[in-house]
Amino acid sequence: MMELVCPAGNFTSLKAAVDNGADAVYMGFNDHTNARSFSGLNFSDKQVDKAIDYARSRGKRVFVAINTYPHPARLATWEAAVDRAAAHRADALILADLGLMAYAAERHPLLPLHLSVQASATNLEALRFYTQNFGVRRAVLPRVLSMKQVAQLAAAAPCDLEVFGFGSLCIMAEGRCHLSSYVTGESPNIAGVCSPAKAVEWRETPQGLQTRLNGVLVDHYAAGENASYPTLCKGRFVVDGRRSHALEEPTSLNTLALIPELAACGVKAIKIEGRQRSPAYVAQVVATWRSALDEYFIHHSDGVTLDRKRREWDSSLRKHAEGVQTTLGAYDRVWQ
Amino acid sequence: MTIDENLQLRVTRLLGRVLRKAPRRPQALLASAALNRVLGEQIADGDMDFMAGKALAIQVRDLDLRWLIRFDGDRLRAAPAAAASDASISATPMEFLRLLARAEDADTLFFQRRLVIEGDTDFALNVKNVLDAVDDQSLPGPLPAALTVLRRLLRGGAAEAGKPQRAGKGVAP
Repeated sequence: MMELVCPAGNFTSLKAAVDNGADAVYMGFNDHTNARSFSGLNFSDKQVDKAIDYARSRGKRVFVAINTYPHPARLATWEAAVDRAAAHRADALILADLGLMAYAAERHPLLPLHLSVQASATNLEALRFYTQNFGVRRAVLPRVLSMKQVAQLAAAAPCDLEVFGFGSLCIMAEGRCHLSSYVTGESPNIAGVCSPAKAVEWRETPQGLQTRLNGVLVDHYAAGENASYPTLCKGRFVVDGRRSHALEEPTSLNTLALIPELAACGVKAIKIEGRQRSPAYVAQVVATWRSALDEYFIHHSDGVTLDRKRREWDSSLRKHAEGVQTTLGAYDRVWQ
Repeated sequence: MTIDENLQLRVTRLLGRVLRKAPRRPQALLASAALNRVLGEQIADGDMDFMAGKALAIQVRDLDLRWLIRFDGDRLRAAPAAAASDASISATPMEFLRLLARAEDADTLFFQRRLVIEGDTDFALNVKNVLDAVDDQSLPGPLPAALTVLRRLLRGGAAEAGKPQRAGKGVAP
């Protein structure tokens, strides 16, 4: 069985995740120490205790994401976050920064460490480094690898592997992206958001919906056209006289079809993206993935049954997609 | 079971007539009382403090209603008003009902252009996040049960109500 790891931006979402079949939930503190740092989102110390009690009393695990890179002048905030997670007795920390990993491994040797997707570890040597030096137990793989590459890595990996199963896709320079810093002065790696909400402006005009990031026009949606998150990478720009998604088209990943292959190669966990989204999203996406995993691992359904059911699951997931479609992302790229 | 579009239209028209004819002051008092009751814990915890000195507009499309919500540091006040706001959230009555019942995710509605946010985005996002964090099962009286029924009725409506969307492919200018 693969572990279903689900997002929780607040206690209500955590309940929705646990009640709908999550095996584990990941969450962050309400500051810049995690990569979903939005106003009103994430957990205070009081809420963390409540959340961990709720999950644990139902046999579920809670991971705390401290996956941004510490601001040099405010390292103490990040170190304190590690200590707080340990004090709350989190089941694991999800970290990206080497210094924080060293700190956590030294101060809290019994606290399991997971390598965040933000660390962008895509090869065996990188995984070995993290396991040998900090005892990292699990690595979340960046969404840049093909299925074949995931399988090759899984065959020799010195730690457990977790892969993304569903959610908004990013430009895949995870942990290294400075695009939003270019227009807003804040990058997701340190400030914890791709587009700081204070820099975002939506404006309805007779020609459609305009999105601006710190005053820079990022996209312009005609009536009836789906909108996406207001990030620079998903905007449309005129390049060589042609207007297009020059960097990346907004899409959502959906890997339901890959469950048998991921299971066969020994991937231990599936991650659902979306701590910034509502309890309604968490409930619906988690319930769908729970059904799909159970159908495969518990009911051992045959390929025909799985394909038939997958059409229903896919359609219930598709409506949550950013952009107009869901894709297999890099997993099905044969040229890699 | 979901509510079909015909019924949606009829409910919307009826609601519009009732709300336009009903006296404004009692409506405002009732809405304010409800808000303070539902968000009591958030107010006590200081989670609403970001609203102090700011105004949020709720615009209900089709019904031609516009309400302003303010926080005086102690209590929330809601009233129909045309005055300027720091941020506005607009949607049809059915979409607001879906959000209220937690039948639909705000970002999903936003991607599909069924929810419009204008003005101070950080402020509007904070409102959304505080509302998401309200534990609907801990609300007073019959509200949790009512919301559960409403959620069942409305869930799935999104996929049906959503018109086929045009692909956001790049086109030459």
